[in-house]
Amino acid sequence: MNIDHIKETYIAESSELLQQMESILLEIEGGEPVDKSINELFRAVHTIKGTSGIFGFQTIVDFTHIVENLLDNVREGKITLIGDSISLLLECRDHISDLVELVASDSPLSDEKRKTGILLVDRLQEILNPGNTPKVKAEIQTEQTQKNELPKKSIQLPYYYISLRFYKDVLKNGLDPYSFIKYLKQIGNIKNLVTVTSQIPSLEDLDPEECYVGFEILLESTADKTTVENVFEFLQSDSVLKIFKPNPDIEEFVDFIRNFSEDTNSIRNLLTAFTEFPESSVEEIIALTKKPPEKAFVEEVLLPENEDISMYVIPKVGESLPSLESLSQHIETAGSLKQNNESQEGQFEEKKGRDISKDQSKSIRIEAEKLDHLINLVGELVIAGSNISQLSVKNGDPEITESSYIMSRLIAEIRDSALRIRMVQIGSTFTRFQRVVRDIGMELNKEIRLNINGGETELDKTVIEKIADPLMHIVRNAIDHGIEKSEERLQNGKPAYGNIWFNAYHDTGSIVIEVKDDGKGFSKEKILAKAIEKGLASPGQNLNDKEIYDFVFSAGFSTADQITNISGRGVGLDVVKGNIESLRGTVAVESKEGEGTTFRIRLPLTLAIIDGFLVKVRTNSYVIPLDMVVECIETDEEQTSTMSRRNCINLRGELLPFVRITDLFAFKMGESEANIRNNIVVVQWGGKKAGLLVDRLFGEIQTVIKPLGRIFDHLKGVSGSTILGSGEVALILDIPSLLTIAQIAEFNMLENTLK
Amino acid sequence: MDLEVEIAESDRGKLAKLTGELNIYHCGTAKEIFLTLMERNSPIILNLENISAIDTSGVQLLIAMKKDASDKKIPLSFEKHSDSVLRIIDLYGLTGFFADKISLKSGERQKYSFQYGLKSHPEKPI
Repeated sequence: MNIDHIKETYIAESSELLQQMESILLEIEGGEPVDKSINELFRAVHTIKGTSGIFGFQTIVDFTHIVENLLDNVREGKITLIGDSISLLLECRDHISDLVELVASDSPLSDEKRKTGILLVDRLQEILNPGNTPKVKAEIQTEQTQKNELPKKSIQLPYYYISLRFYKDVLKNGLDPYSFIKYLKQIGNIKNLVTVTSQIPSLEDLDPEECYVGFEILLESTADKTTVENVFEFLQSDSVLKIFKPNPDIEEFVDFIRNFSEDTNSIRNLLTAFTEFPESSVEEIIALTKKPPEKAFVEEVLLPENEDISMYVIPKVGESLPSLESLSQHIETAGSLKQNNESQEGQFEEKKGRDISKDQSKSIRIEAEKLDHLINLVGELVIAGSNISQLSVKNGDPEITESSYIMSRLIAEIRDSALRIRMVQIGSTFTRFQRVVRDIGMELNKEIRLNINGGETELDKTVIEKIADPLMHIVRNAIDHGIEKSEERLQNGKPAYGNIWFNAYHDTGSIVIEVKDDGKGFSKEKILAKAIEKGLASPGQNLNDKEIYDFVFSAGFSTADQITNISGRGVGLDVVKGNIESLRGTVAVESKEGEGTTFRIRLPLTLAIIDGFLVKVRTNSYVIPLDMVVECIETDEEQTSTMSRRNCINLRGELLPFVRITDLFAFKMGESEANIRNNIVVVQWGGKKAGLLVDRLFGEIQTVIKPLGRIFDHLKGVSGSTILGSGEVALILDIPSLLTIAQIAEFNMLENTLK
Repeated sequence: MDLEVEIAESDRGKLAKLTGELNIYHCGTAKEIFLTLMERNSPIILNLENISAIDTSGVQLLIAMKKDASDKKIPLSFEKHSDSVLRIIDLYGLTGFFADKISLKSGERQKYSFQYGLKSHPEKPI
């Protein structure tokens, strides 16, 4: 399997876990009992740590490790999660997310991010060891001040400096350093190499199967540090490796070399053997090594952001190489960081394994592309299927007709389940806003609760992806302008905290998403005044509520008195409207001043295939989306002609406006007109009902939407085309825009009659 | 192939010719051979002509022997280094440490770098 593939899975999985982490944290903040979800939280962090480890993303591992420690203490009841620590954990989540993104984009860790990490670790440590702030903190601080105040001084050495020491058993383990060092030549040129022989005992005492030598190497190479490190990958558990990048920081190098030997003479000998070191640096290094160390060396291992963790310790000359056990003891006792977790690890590993297998049996990850291909094929199948059923009807053979019916039914089922694969619950999109609401609310000092209804409503994945941005705009608006500050709310007799409701439900073949707030609502007068000011309306114009509210979707329209950094620039709602319309949806706003605002977004369930109702007008075929068809009625010429000029009929005592497709698309009156029956298809959209006057009805048809070319982008009344089984092209009528057209036409007519 | 040794006396000292592999599999044998050679304080010349393979453990033994010899003031030299011996000595920068005369056949020079570790520094152990 391709490693990029695995990495993609890793990134997807991590993002999911981080999402999960966020919602759990927000739930806890919202008052959910901690003990219920802490295990889930721990597991999320633990899994991220584990998988990051597999990929060798050490920075993520180190950071998540400390977060995990904190959560572990929470689980054991040693620490309680309160507001501050939840905020901290949320920040940690963001940091992990940033780190994962860096991995995704293959970019290096910036200094800023590194600092963020260090500061977060600092705060985590504060909680883990209150009062007893460990040395790590002090170290980080000294390191920071060093970083901030002193410019880094480096040694002018254009080569990698590699220091290699082995545990005694390396040779017995079948590993010969010779081959690894030889391999270095593949990635560069060995400028200089010193074999450290001082540890070799006399021949008498020497165990010929043990390794006593060490190497100090200068490597000239253009490869990156990881590549160099990877050369020694197999030696990892049998050796201590330290690699300095070209032009190493002098202080770091001194820290390292100090441990090479207590005797400055042997350091001098080593450095003079390396003629590549500039003489001035050698003197400086030796001078610096004579100063007492500022920080204990082993503790450096604990620096969470230090990439070189496990392989840093260089034995002092005169001591034999440390055994692995004593080394790890050393690390263990040097700080409390590593201790906490080990015991739980095993027990959790097992649990995790079980959970993963459970999850795996529940869902499979599929590339979106494969799915798109399947949907495409299903679309073609639908067309081919309706072709066959038309032919069978024409043919008249009852057996074939019956078979084709069965096939049509199966195709419909295949289509439905294929489309259902793409359906995703909108809930996760909603919960993402918990964080937005919380953060912006805090920023503006408003207490706001987000209430979610209908999160289980399913919607096409592509639609869900595209709806997040418009929702964000609306929510930001609601928080910034809609919801008042607590004092103001209390004065107005509202609860101190504001509410935002997300609501999703199905309604006649579409999904409705409502975003409602109980803020101050839109001021009709303000909108109207602004509209008149902008020239969108004339002062004397009589407009109904809906029309007035629709002005807020005009470009550059803002009634905000103050522009904030969250919203109010008048950019937004027009974009929101555009985005939603590009999804074949509509958006409307309802508001009551002082009580709140509701944004109602109506979206089609899916974008690819529709159930349609085929009609014919003269020789042209049209498809009306079946979800919008309420009923079909036959009218006689007499009735339509008497009502004709008013374009309204009496439908069971109800006044139903209708549109003549012939008029709308400007058909010429044919000779055969007299014989044509008049059928009215009653359609409904967003609470409005209207009739479409057509010639012939053909009934239900399943069809694939083929988009019209870009030329027709602004064509009103038609939303797409489709190819019928017979090969004929039919236009799909865009009912919402047809209704608007009809409405406008009616107004014009009314105005004319009034004149 | 096992490691064998032929020992002969010459006017220059004890002449030992090693044949075989001087690696982890035979370093136990080699250690015994070297200890025997060092028993008497007479000069030793180690012929490495027939060393077909050598690894870190082998080099380590040669270094230990050289160090012991210099402690005990026993003249010890290696001669007629085989290709594999030269390669590892070259890579490990031990040419200067052993300070032996190395004779190369014509055209063989470019097989080795002899770029570093050429200076003799027995009084400065690293």
